[in-house]
Amino acid sequence: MFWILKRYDVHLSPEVHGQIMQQGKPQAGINVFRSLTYGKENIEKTTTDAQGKFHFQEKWIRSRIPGRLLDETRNRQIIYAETGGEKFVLWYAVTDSIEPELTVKNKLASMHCDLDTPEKQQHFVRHEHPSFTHNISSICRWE
Amino acid sequence: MLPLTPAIAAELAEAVYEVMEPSETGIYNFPRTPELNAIFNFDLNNGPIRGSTGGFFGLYRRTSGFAVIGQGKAHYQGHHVVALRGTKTLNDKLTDANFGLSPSHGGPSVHAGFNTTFSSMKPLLEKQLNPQLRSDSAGLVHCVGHSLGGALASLAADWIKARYQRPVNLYTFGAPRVGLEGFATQSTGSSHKIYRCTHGADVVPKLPLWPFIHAPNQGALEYRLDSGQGMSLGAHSMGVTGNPGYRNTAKGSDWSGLQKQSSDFLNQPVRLSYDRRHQASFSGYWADRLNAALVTLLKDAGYYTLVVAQAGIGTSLTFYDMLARTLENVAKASVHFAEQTRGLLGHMLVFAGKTAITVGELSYRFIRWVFDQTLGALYRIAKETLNQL
Repeated sequence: MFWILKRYDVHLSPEVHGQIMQQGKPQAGINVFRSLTYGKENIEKTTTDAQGKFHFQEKWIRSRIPGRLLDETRNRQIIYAETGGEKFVLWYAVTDSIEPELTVKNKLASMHCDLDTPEKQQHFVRHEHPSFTHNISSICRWE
Repeated sequence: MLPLTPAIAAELAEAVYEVMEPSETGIYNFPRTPELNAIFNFDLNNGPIRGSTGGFFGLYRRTSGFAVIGQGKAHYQGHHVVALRGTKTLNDKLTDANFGLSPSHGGPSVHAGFNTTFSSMKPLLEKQLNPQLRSDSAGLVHCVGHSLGGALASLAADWIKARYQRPVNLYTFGAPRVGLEGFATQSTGSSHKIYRCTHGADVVPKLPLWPFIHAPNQGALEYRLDSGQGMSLGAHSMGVTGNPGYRNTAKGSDWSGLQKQSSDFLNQPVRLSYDRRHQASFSGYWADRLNAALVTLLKDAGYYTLVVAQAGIGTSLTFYDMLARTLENVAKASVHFAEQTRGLLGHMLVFAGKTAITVGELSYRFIRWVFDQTLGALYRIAKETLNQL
């Protein structure tokens, strides 16, 4: 029954670097949260600096979930900023991958967020599986 | 009537897994591909459909979503989709040989575990579907599910057809067998079209064993999406990162481009000779052959209807106990049937890797033991595969 006890490395999020602006001005002192859910939810908080910049570390966990019979657990990443009682979604994505994904890594490495830009669904080619897209929702825009 | 494309059906089957427990942040979203967004709206203002707080009759861990309902637009105007997911509890039930049967909507016997779960989600599903499906629209309702969600989608399709008088299509990926012949026939009749998709090495569509039957059971076509052989649990995965992963194999916009395999042979009589038992092997093909051979034996001996009826009433015996007792009686009925029973049990033992064991006395105890070996071999592969990951 050893298989039940085996733990697996699960990648929850790459490193995150972003900047929050409004009307062309960096927004300092805004709380930014990252919620990562794989079986259970893990929420971290940071605050933007004088340039409106924020940062989260890469996140791995050890989990038994991938060894479970017929498992279909998904990996959810939510990053949002909260200011003036309002929540602004900077990243909302769900993936079936427990490995790092290059496209996500690149997007999260440079997040340009303007609080006046409306949230919308965006689609980026999955580098590891090019016939599929990462379907995400965000107020940020990428080139 | 326009079906969902393979790619859209597969996306929906996976989408229910993305409907997770609500985040403590209160943020909820459901980003989809542009292709799906173009043809279906998902009203998720209140999040996904889930059980009330405190768990859904204990079946859903807290308030995890279990269904996604979408309203068609563009050339799917008037259509609806209902995608369902299985539960962790159901996983256990699938690999539990001591399951019972119970009557489904309309009567025919189905797996009691699947039936109980579907019955418990029905009131909530009905509440969500009533305002949408009781309209004048006569558009198709597409029922979709992967794995145990596929079993629930089969029951849902049957019920929606009867309850709302709407035409239904059923799309399943790696779904187990849901019921006996009566249900397969009813399900085949209720659904306008059934797209039953499998991978060659996916073990789940081979479960539960005997005498469960897949729908459609007439003019039977199965979409065999890969050329996998043997049995592996990985072949069951839905996601893009799966190997091969149903999202990857259910490609394109046209079902005719996918490989179809007739499973009509399963409905042909199969009579096995004990002397030829070493032709059997541990494979999906032989799991199907043994299934057909058992059904044939029960029908030849005139016990099939009785087994189905007994299974339907539910007794204190488990299903395989009842089946073992029945086979004991079948074997006693005549030398001819005893030989046919011996042939079946001999093949089962070879399938289960017990090649050295010879079939002697056809007692209830021995027959029950052979069932345990055979079922055990099939369930063990699941666990062994996991061990190798």
